[in-house]
Amino acid sequence: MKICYLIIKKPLLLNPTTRLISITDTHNSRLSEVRNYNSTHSIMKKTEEKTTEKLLREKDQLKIKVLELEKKLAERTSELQNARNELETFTYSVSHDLRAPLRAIMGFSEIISERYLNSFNEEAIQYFNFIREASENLGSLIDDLLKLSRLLQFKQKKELVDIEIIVNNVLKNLSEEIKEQKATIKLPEYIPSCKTSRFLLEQILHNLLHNALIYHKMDENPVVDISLKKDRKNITVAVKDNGIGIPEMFHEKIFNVFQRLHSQEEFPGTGIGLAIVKKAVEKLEGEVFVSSQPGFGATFTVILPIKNSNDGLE
Amino acid sequence: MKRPANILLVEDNKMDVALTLDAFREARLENKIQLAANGQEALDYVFGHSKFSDRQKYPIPDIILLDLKLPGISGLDVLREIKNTNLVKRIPVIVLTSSREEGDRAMSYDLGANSYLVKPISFSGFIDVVRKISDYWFSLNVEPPR
Repeated sequence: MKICYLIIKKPLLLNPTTRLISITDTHNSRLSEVRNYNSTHSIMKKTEEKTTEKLLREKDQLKIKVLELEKKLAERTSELQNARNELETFTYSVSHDLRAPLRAIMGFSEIISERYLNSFNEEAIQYFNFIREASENLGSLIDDLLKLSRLLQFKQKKELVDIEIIVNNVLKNLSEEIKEQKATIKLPEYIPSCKTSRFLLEQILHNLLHNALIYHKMDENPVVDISLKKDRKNITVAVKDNGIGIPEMFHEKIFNVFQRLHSQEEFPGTGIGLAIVKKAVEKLEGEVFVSSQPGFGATFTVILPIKNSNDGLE
Repeated sequence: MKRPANILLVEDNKMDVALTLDAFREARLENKIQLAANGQEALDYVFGHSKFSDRQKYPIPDIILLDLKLPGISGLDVLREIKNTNLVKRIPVIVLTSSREEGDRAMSYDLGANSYLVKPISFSGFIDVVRKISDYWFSLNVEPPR
């Protein structure tokens, strides 16, 4: 191809003989160039082939190594997943099995207190009431543990959720506490809808509101301010109370399971509520934090990302 | 008035047995309650085998209260066996368990349980459950033909 191109392109203005010589010369020199090129090319090609072959071999070896590593990783992941599943099932069945003996303790103490309590002396009555109180505490502990383990096993389904309905549900479930504490609950005028998990959001709101009602000052009725804001990326829920507040050193710790800052006598609780909030928020890929000073109430803020809120339901 | 229904209570936990029996007394129900303490005993009773072969003493139950978590042959195994046997498959079986687990609920209904009740944690709750069982199953519900 290259040769043809050269011949045609050469300007042919000299006499025919000179032209012919010139053409032949050029032709020969080009030919040798081409030969040279060809030989160099073939050497290069051979080297190239060798290199390619080597590279291919190395690539294959790497591929095998990657596959091996991937296989190991998959094995590890599945081992971890199994261990986690086992632990979750274990938590569930343990908290579950604890109910049977508890039912016996509570059931029979109920029967005794109804039928035989007037034959007890004062001390016996006091001790007996301790048993009943303790078994009730154990009951709430088991209930909360079951809630937590159910949450761990929960496969979230996101759907378009009317948050107002969830808020109303939560308020209904807590109506007894609200009445008992003479609490004021302030709600925003407009409550948005968004695509999220109904169950998880309800867990989050229930526990935050419950805490706001429980940890109130002795001489002040709880005032809880719930705010809900939605922008293009997030939905932000804040629950602000006028309660006893939380020292800064505990702002992270309070989200751990069983972490309590008060005795059962001061404020009843199981130490699981905020752990449930944290887990639920994590499942929704959001974040939760508290800002608070002792004596000046606390504000818990939950930020949940909303993805493709215009899409159909997942 | 028709005779009080014969109940077979399948329950391995002696405390739950005591609570159930007490709840029946407290609710002033005069049903005859027979006991089976495990899955094997439950099947022996239903089919009139071994120590339960005397049908005068151990009549075919009108209704079965079945715990799911039993040692050895489980409550679900008992349920499957009963619902697969022509002679006894019409006997209403009420699952009475502490499990709310989805798997247990699904399996129970799949195998033909007639009702699924969760054991309450308090004694007053127990009395309530027993009363409601009686109101529905022993008076409102029309029994299957023998």
